[in-house]
Amino acid sequence: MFIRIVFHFFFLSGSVQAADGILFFESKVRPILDEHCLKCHSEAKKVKGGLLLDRKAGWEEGGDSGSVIVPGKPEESLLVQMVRHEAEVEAMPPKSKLSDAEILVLSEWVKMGAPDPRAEAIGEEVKTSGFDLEERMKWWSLQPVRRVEIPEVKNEGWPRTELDRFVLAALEKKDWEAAKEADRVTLFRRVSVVLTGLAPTLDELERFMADEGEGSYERVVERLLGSPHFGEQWARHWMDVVRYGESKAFEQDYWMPYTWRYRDYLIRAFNEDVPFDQFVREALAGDLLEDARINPENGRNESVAGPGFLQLADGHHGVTDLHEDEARVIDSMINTVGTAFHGLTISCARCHDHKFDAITDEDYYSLYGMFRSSRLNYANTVDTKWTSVRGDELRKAHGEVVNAAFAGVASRVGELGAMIAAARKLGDDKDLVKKWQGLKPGDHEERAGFVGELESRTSPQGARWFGVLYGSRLRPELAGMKALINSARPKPSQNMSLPQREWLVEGVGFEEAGEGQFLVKTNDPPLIHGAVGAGMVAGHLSSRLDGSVRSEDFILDGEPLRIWVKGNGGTVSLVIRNYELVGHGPTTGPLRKSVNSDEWKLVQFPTTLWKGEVAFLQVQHQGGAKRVLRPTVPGVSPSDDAWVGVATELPDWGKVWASKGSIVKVIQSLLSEPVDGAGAEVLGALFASGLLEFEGSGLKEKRESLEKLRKSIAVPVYVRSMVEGTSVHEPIYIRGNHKRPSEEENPRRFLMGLGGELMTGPGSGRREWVEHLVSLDNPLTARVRVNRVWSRVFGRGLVASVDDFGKMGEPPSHPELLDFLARDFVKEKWSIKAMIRKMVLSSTFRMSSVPSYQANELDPGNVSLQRMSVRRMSAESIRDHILAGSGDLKRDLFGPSVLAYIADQPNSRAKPRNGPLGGGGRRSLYLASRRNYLPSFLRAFNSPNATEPIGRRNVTTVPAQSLALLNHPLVHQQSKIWGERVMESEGSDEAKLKRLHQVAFSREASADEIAWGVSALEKLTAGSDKKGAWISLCHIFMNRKEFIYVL
Amino acid sequence: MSSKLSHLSRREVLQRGSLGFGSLAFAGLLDQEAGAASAPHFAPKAKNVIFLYMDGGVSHVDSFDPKPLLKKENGQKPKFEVEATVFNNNGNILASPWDFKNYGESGIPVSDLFPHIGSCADELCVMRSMTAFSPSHPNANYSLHSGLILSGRPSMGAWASYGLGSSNADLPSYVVVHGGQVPSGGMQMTGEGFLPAAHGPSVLHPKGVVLQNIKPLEKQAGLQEDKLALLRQIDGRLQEARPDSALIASAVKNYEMAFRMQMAVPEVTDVSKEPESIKELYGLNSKFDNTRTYGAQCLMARRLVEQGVRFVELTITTGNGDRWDQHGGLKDGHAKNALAVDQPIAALIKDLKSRGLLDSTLIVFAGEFGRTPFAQGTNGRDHNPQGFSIWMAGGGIKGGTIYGATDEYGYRAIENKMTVHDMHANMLHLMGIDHTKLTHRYGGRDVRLTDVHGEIIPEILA
Repeated sequence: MFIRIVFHFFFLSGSVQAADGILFFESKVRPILDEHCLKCHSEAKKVKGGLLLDRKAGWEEGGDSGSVIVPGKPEESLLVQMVRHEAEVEAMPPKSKLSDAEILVLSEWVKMGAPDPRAEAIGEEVKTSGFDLEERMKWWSLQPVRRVEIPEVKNEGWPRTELDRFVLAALEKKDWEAAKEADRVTLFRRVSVVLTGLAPTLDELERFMADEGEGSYERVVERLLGSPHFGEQWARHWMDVVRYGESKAFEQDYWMPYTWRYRDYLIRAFNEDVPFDQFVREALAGDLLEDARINPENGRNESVAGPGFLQLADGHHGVTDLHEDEARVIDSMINTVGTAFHGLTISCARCHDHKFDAITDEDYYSLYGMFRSSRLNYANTVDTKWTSVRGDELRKAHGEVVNAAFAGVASRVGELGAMIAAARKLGDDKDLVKKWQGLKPGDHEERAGFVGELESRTSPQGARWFGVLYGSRLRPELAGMKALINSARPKPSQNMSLPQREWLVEGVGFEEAGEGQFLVKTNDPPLIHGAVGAGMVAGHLSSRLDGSVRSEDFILDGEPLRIWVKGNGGTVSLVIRNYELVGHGPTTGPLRKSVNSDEWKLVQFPTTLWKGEVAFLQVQHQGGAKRVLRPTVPGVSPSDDAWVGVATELPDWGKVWASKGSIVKVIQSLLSEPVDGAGAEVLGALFASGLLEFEGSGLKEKRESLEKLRKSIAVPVYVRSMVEGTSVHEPIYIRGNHKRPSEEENPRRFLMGLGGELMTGPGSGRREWVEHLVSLDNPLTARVRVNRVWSRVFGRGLVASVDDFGKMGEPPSHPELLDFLARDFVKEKWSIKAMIRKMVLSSTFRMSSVPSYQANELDPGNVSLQRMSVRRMSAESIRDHILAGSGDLKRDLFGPSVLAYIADQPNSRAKPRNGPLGGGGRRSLYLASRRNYLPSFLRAFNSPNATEPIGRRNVTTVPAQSLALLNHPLVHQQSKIWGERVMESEGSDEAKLKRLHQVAFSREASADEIAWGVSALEKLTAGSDKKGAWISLCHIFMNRKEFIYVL
Repeated sequence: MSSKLSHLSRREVLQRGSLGFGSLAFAGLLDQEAGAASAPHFAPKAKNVIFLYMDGGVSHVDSFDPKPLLKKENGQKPKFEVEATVFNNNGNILASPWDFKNYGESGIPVSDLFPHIGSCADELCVMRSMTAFSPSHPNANYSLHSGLILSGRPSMGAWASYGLGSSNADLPSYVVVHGGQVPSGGMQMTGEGFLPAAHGPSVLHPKGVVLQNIKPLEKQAGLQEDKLALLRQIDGRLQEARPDSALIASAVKNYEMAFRMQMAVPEVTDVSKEPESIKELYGLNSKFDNTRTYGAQCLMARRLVEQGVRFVELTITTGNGDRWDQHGGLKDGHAKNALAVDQPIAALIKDLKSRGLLDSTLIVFAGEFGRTPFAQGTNGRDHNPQGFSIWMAGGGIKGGTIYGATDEYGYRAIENKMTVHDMHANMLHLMGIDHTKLTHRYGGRDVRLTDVHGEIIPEILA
């Protein structure tokens, strides 16, 4: 702090030029006035003490106490005295004091002569004071969607659909005519690419050519809407909007496992035409829906995958300020949600009210609070209804195994006594004991030899008894047992700093351990692995019953935080400020621990660096499969041996041993009487240590039936989703600074520009937010969505700035049409397919791309829709079309992403393994979207950077694209494959050329093109051979403009 | 989508329609996106920029900002409050292992790490009060390049290209000569972000294939030309049939440009034909492999700016030691890195000067942050964003000056504190661009490289 003041002093003591005075005012003084003074001293809000500080004339005139500023003389200026809280003057601001630096700025400003450019006279409206919500709410996109009249048109013969009438009426107003209809083949290719991202196959083309009857185009449209590739194309569009990427960028580019399942979720959702209002509900609250959408084929929960995009922000592990990083991540969520669904730039209101739109900083931090009250969760999509149907059966089978095992021991307790006696007798041999205790952990051979010797003198189980009775270290649960033999009485440490908390339970896996839950291990002995005492446990009935438990939020006090855990494949972490990458990085590395121990372990998290921060504890069953991975790790999957227990306190098992007479007696009473938590722990430890290995009758069969039951549960299938956390209202961060939260509460509410209704329900508020979003009173959601669809179908949105319906966006070219479509969309139950069907069946869509002379002159961007625009295929479609041409395209759907070809990109420690050049023939949307290593070929054609939401891609035409099509190894590889296939195919050169045109351009070749082809072949053969000529010709075909342009 | 700078010229094209019909006006639109040169806001001092990116963070107290107090208090606990560091392994005050000498008429002190650069001291303006927005590599790297600690934002090179376009039709306007060390945060930090793709960097490599897709893969001589001739023929027919389509016209035209680039890029980047004296000067005969590589990069940079490439950024070399990120082994690591870059950078300054190009070429030497005056462990230094040194030389810079200061430990900038915004503002200023007017509409805002900050510093300008 001291240094900061010194800095200001240095800065201010320099000579300040006159012209710099205004700059000084604008950059240093105005923000202080705006923030601390104008609430009470401005025309727009209040005028306390008769003083206006929102204009120069205001302070010049002074207030009720007279003059407040004497230019050049800070010491004599009341304002300076007041902000300094000097004695005998009223302190200002009344409830807080400015920082020393801010006071210094004001007094320096006065010293400079108080330069102030705000020229408004008293009584005049201040122009820059700016934020008038009611005024802002008059903006067109916030007005209710109108019920519009279908316009009259002169050329009644042209419109096929109502939407055509809007387009034509606008053209007729200019005395323009719509372009004539495109020929059917052009239209066929166009509609195929628009709907599926793929040009027609040869087979599809032939069928279309053969079907010249009435309604052939309509039949094509129906086929395409029903094609599985429809979902791929429209999923890819949505992936742009939600900044889909599979890795975290920054230094290590950690990848987020299962992200591809979100992509597959989108494909299915579009193919099934999930109504858009449902889609939105799932997007923001899919984990909270009462009636989750269940996939009829496999019973999986679809809805829970919906929020998968929220947590796709990038991130890194070297964070020194976790709060700042949280603000960055939540900003990414707000920006994405604001853009995707509202068409508003809500994240502009992070530091101040929006400069142009009806968005306040309260709005921003309302959303912030909503997301901060939610947490990342790897959700199991396997239908949880299973447990309610068969849970009891499982529990029963489990209990039978445990009982049979106990009965087995109880029936042979005499043998047990003899065994222990024999072991103790061996223990009389002090040399033997000394030798055993002298073995080091690494002495495997000696140990094996020793154990062999012991076994021959007693039995395998007897040897184990000797081992534990005379071992140098005993697991804590059994420690008291030694006391029955000798006088040592070690007691487990019970150091516990974490108060008992209410756990927020997610999934079906976790149960309270209660009086002890016994774990039956899946694999061979020991049969009962360990009992799990106090706290919570998962995986004991079956590792496939999944879940997590998390504490409520709490504030770190700087003291180490400790908690007991045991299990296998689980994790326990201290999540500070929702930071995902705990377990990685120099300081946050120790905040996640793997749980891999039969014995209770005390996990300790250091917190000194984060004193005062908000955090929660998270215990994840199968946690090993629920974490980000290094770039070269192939993947993770859940384990069938996983279980995890967590406890804030351990029972006193010393008591168990202390109260009874002999070891055998203790065991006998544990087996015959109901046990408490401590007893269960001790019993479990005896089994786990192999000390009670007696085969009970029927045990084997019972175990088998338990295993069968367990295996009948589906293995967890994870998606990255959300779960509710502690419900909080986030204060406003003054000027976006997370270290300066406002003192006032900022209750969560819907956008103020859309009514601002308070969200009063429990939980994060996502569930309420989404209902506001899809409410019919909300004018944006339907408008924004139909406009996005329109832009994908026609190449340009009615609102060209598809992501911004605010003042900085572009106004609608056909406002009535937009409203007509928005209403129609809702009327058609938010069906995307119905909307697309109407669009592609319209006369507008069927127009040729040849413009009229006037339209080309006056409307080169085709805003008026006088024709269809010529369009370049998307990056993904170009690559897909190349693979389709060569015949290498695989048309399979779904699955993990295939590694991209990145051999042409620089090495780094974040570089994943290289993928095959041809991507295994998969469509481009299945290529891994690792943010630091995006496929270069796609990037050349404007595929997005996968970091920012983008509803409208830049479509540039640059030489790098020509270079890619001329020289990229993928293009050469595919030319070769294509050329060789053409060479081997049947038919004359002419027939081959014909087919080549059909595949490449979905149309017949002209005679002229055949002639050109023949002469080209001749020329190319001269330089090599016929096969080489075909390869070269295929390469030329990929470079012909029509290959990637859609007419 | 629109560049404010090019607005006028584009409207002129649309109005005059010099070639008579609107489609070409639309082609004009496309060309704008592809990077047609536009007039600067005022007369530039520097036509070109070479940005020497010192990845990892050079220790300023061991290079350009001597702090005798460190020697005095070596091994003692820091007497000042220490901010959070990335590794949280803060040790005691660590004296610099290097001595400083005063160089040139200006007497600017430079440590023995950089004797060659020291010999150019009178050309340098050393700014000792630079600060960074984050102590972590990726964040600081992103903001060094784009002004914001976020990934995916346009870099300074992309902004320069966007504002000024290319002055050579055969070459890209913005080039990264990649030494092999991928910066922490990935190469996309040098990218165009949301600016049109034409303003993205062409990443050139001093070894192997110089630019992605620049080398024809046809083994047979003349084959590519034959293909292109055939392509022209058949595309010509489409163009005849569709004279209305500017998109198609522009795509066809790009093949000509691509073909020229295939010739021009290898030509301009081929340093093998440079005279022996030049090779010697740049360290191309050095025993140290990294010096040879970085020397070639510097020489390529000179050749590129000679040909009118606007913005050249050099990343550092790899293969022998890490970036400038010596959390341990400061002495060995910094010495190796300095050995790689010192001679080539000095050669670049001298060579440009002797060709009369230094006046019109701005050279900037900067890392993403400095390093702490106290040790990390025993012999390393952690990241220090609170105060460090960068320097500029050439076009429009007042040589032989020192600007700003850190405290007596070199821990915090205390005099004339600078941010990356100020650095960017001054770089653009020297290129003839008013940084407050170079904007691009994105996400509802007219976004600037300098966000809402950045101040021109008269003291550093010639």
